[in-house]
Amino acid sequence: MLKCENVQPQLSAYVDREMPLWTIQLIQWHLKRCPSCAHETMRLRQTNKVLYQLDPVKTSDNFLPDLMRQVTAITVTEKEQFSAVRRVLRRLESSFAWMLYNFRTRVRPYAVVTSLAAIAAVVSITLYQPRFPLPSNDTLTLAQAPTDKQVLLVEFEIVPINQFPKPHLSSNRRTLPFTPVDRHQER
Amino acid sequence: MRTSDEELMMKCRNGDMSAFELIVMRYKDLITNFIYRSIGDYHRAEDLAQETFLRVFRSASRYEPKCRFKNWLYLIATNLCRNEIRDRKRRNTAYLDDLVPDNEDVNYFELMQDVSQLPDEVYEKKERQIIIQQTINRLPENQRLALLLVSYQNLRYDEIAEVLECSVSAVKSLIHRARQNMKTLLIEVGIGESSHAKV
Repeated sequence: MLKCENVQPQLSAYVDREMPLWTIQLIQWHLKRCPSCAHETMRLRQTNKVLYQLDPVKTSDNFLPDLMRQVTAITVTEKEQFSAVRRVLRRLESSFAWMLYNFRTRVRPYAVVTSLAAIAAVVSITLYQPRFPLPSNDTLTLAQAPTDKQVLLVEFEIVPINQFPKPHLSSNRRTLPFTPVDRHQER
Repeated sequence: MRTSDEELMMKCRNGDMSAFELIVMRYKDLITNFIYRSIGDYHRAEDLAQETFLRVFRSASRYEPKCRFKNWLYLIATNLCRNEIRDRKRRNTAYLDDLVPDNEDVNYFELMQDVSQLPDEVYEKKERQIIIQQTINRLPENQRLALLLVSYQNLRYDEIAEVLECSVSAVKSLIHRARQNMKTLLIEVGIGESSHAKV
């Protein structure tokens, strides 16, 4: 529970609502139970009300013309004092500052990150060199292979017809990937 | 869409006089009021308000929008007010304006336009306002400035801290002490006594 000596220095900030919401609620809770602090708050609010009784004043009608006259006088004096080169330099400096300001205020960080990422992607795609040479036109690629039939790569060697070798009957001989079907049997 | 003060100031930096004029139009009443409440002298307050804007114009070429323009403007006005208060204290001057209310004729004329108020009420209101202003003038310099900034200019505590160049907790305690002192001083002069407690 809050103590009066902790609450009372905070009351002015409480009246101005210059504290986090949870602190305001804690103080409100304390004020409901503590008449002296509640009275103090009321007095502070009354003091504020008294201050608001003062009427605001308005500037006289010749405030702006007078001021602009003085400003013009300053500009004329500056023109007389500074050389043309210095004035141009100053102008350039102002323009640069204006650009910087626009960059700081208008350019959002996420936009910068996205743009940089896009630029990096474009550059990397442009500069990319494939590790293997691309296939030439006369080479048959896998995509060009007929898909309706199964392709079986067979090693072969050319031998004279009279020296035709006997078929291998070893166990590690590669078997066909399909079993031949006797169509007469199917029928 | 309303152009921000910072943007106007950057245009002013590039030599755009209409941007500067717009800034003056926006803040002239606020700044004059603030200075008037700080020093209690209307004519001097107008002079100082003009000086504030002239300083803004002179330093426009060095302006960098690091903080809010409003805070920067109040910082210049506050420094001028401080100098004026110290000058007056040093000279120990009692200006005629301190004794006689400022732009008295104008305010009376405006008040007299309000037919709902009787002349007695008008006079009473004016007297009351003079007493309140004198009570404000009796507050210490920093407390007075902090109280005026929060009450009449509606600045937040962090903004006041920037203007007065101190921490937010210091502002908090300054305002609290200013209100306590104000309360005591108002009771002394017979204003602000009431027993209707409402939370």
